[in-house]
Amino acid sequence: MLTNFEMQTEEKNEIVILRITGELDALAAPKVKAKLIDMTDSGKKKFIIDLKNVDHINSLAMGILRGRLREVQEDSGDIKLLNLSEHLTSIFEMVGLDEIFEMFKLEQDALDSFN
Amino acid sequence: MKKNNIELEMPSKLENIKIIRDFLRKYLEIEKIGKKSSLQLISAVDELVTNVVEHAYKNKENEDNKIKFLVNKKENKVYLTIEDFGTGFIKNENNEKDPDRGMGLKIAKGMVDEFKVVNKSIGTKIEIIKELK
Repeated sequence: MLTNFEMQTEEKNEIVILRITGELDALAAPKVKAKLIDMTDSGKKKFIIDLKNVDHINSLAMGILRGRLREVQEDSGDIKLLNLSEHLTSIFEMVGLDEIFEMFKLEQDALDSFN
Repeated sequence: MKKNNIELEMPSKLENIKIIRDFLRKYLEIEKIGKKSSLQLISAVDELVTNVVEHAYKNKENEDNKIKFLVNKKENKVYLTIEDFGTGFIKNENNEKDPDRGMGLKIAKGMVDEFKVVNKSIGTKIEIIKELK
């Protein structure tokens, strides 16, 4: 089945920016997990996930992000979230994930937060 | 069938969840439901249907494992029903063995105004209502 889900990566000062487009549902969530595991296996541990072009996320994807956050933080890394819509922000707040993820509206602020 | 009373039935598959989301999105667009309420309803339905596929039917793809979905707008409310014929899946939001599952139910409940679980002899029916403001 065709989906509109895409991921693109960009690296700035050893920080990987993962830009996601589409719907982060139960089919897409394992792809994000695999991508993050692949990158951590190759030594990356600082991530910004840009959700500007995501208008839907489900709990599976959020659980995966939470799990990967724990993993990278154990290795002095971090995952920061960028450009959450009002709807996505409300979902993160509803389940308390806004307390464990740092969220940013500006990419430069997210990059600077790693310093 | 009344104009707004629509029912879908499909096999339990992760791929079909997108079809339900896209269908619901179009229905809500036709009914001129606002963006915020639409996104909330789509999130609630996605969580509940995912729960059916993964837990009520345990990801077993079988043509007999059906999901029934019904949507109906009356006045300022949208009524949605998600029904399965599986093992039953609702316990509570604080599922320590599977916290992500509890998170999904919490999201679904948080997105709507009324949330009712009907435990059938075979399967579960969830009835939700969203008031349009």
